[in-house]
Amino acid sequence: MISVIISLPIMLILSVIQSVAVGRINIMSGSADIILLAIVSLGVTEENRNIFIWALVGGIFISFISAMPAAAVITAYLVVAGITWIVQKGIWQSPILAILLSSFIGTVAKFSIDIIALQIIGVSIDFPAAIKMTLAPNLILNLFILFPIHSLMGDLAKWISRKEEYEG
Amino acid sequence: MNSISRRTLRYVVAFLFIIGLILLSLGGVIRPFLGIVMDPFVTAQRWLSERFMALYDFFTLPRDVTELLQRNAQLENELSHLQSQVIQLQEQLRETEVLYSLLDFARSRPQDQYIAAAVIGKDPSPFLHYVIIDHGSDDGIQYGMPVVTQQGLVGRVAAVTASASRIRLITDPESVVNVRLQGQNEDALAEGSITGDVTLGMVSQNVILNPGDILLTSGLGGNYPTDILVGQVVNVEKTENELFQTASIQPVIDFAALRAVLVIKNFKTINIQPLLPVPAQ
Repeated sequence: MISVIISLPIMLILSVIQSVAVGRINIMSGSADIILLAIVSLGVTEENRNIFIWALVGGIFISFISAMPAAAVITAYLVVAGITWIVQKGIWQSPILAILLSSFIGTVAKFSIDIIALQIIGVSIDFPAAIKMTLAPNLILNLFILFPIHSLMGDLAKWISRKEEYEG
Repeated sequence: MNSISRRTLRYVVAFLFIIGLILLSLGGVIRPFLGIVMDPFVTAQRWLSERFMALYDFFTLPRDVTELLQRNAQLENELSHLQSQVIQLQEQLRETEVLYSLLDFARSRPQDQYIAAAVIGKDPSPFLHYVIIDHGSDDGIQYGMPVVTQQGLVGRVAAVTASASRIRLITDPESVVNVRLQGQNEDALAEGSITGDVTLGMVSQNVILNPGDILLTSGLGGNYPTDILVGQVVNVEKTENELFQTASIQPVIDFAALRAVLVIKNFKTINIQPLLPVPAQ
């Protein structure tokens, strides 16, 4: 329960930071996505059991800010949470490799969902340019700030876990 | 009598000797002799004084260093405080400059009424080009209002809440602006893209396009006022077998550094959709 409650202010703060600061730091047209990285970072920790709720909350907050269709944003973050969960539980137990793999696959998956959503609403997309100008820079920038976010969210997950054990 | 005169004589001799020495001293005669006597004492005193001062410095300097360090820390604090004040003032100066520029622009177009707003965020999606401003419906902003700066066209209001609005930039892939070439009676379309590049389309092959040509809003379509600067032509792509030629446009506004905008509040957008011909079934 604490995890669910704490997800609201944390994801709100991260959404604001994403809009105000992180989204403005661009390489070509790409920028890092700290909501995605927060979901991945929480997902690879053993402590967190509510990763899908965090993804849902993050998706809702981002959909308030973004002009992307809300369904696409929320679906994309839920898919990222699902990928992280599968990687962490089923494929790779090593946290560092799991987080790298999850953030890579998650970024590509979110990119794909965004592209599909834009196609559905009728936005014309130059696909090779989108990969070159957006996806590749996204991957690089996400990799840059992945580990700082991971260490912060890892500490947060441990704190939540301790609180939940104490309360339980 | 004899003893008294001898004692008196001794005093007189001593007095005369002292008077003699004083007179010799005043005359400068005994100075070389005094120098010979005093020089060793002066040298010794100088040597002793230097050693003493060295010793004194040795014991007192650490205390002075501590004081200096404290003073240095205090001055550094003051300096950092002043530096932060300088940064704040520079920031305020920049904002004032931007606002003055916007005011100049507003004065140059007295027919329009403006709402000045600060840019407070950017759309998190890398595919879409929107910014968020700190004014909304409570301030009179409505959907569709054109947004400009002193440099030129920014875009239009795409979504409004009570206290904030989302502005679709002209670089957004969904943005289409009717433009005309300055000095030529030719209309065209400026279209955004997901990469943020703006392309000039629907330009007849007969039109002579040159890099550097200026583009202004034409007012067609009823979405934007006329004669607002949009950008200038950079590259022209002309293929003979194509119906239209295209060109890359460099917008006049640096959207990455966009800080404040003006929303034109008295411009009414016109929905021309009902007037468009419906394709025959």
